[in-house]
Amino acid sequence: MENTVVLREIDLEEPFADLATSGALTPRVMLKSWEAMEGIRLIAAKLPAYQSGGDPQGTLLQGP
Amino acid sequence: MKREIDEGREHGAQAVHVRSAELAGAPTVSAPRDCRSLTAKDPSPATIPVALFGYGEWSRSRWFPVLSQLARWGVIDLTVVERWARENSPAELLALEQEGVLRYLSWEGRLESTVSARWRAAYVVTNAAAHHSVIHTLLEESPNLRVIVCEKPCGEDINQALDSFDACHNRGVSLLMADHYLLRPGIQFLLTRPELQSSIGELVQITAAINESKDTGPGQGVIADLVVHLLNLLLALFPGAHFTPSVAYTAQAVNRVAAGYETYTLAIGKLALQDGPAVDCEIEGGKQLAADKKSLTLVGTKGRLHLDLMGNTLTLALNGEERKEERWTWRTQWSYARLILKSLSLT
Repeated sequence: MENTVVLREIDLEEPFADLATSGALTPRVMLKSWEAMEGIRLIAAKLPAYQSGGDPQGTLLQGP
Repeated sequence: MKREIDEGREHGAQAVHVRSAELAGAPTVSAPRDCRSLTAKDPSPATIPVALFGYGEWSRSRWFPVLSQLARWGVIDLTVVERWARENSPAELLALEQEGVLRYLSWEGRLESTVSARWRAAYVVTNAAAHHSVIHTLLEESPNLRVIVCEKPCGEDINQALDSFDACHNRGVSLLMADHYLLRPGIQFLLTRPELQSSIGELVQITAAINESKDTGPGQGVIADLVVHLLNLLLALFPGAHFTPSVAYTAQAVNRVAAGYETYTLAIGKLALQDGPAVDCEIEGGKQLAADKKSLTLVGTKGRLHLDLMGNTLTLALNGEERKEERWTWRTQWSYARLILKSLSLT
């Protein structure tokens, strides 16, 4: 629960269902991405920096 | 709420009607249109007034070519808005203004009301730090505005995004968030061929990555710059889904260019599908890494789909009795034309 992002509620109309094929997202979908991004930031802030992953040698990356 | 939107449209339609009546005596441009006769000062009544905010590298290479061509054809009446004073604006813009293709407007927090009052569509291609203020200025000073297209992520943080969403909704202005990864051919193919997803059976694992060796990009971390693309792709491919991270790491390159921002992020969690299971999901985004890698892999009980976003290939591999492998390849081209035309249809 402590990693959950609490947002104020807003009313979002969703008039366009097929936007993705035009290369765009509605605010409702973008908001879901924002929630996920904030969740990632919250969790990452509590963990040590990653030292491998995309940089197996660990030479490029360092802690924040 | 639907009522408000409809009323807003009705109001917009009336405004257009009045303007058309005012311009009834103005000369019209006959087809085929002569570019020289299409001046920004004397648009055809059928021409849609639009604004392009931001003329940086991305705007110049991806948005401007489409919009300026539409302006030459007389489809839109284009105003380019930037912060430079007129004397400091790029020579090519002033040359096009002289030619009558567009109008340049220097913006310092306020807009020239006689111009901005006419806009019916606006494209916000500034850096993310200006998204919120540009959108609110547009809402205040462009009463005929029907559509705003803003580059993702629409602000510097979730509160700015929420505020902009709320303000546009209350004004009855449609706000669309552009994400160019949605326009990649393989993604478009997947979006229009849902049977490919179902052919791999029940989804059990998703792996998505945008790792870049370059260090350039907007002044923001990779979560808001790269990871957001992957989230957007997943939410477009799986409408109604929700990603919940359980583990997430960030790191910064030793020789990072953008000080203060993360240059690497790995997030592991679940993508909860609408009316479906929660699927294991790993998302990775990085810059200044040893190698470039941009891909999306969906693993199901009957096979896998692998989308290479650099090679522009999609591979479907099925297991068991239906065992087969199929591959599609596309050219690397994509364009915002599709989105721009969609947005103009909403005005």
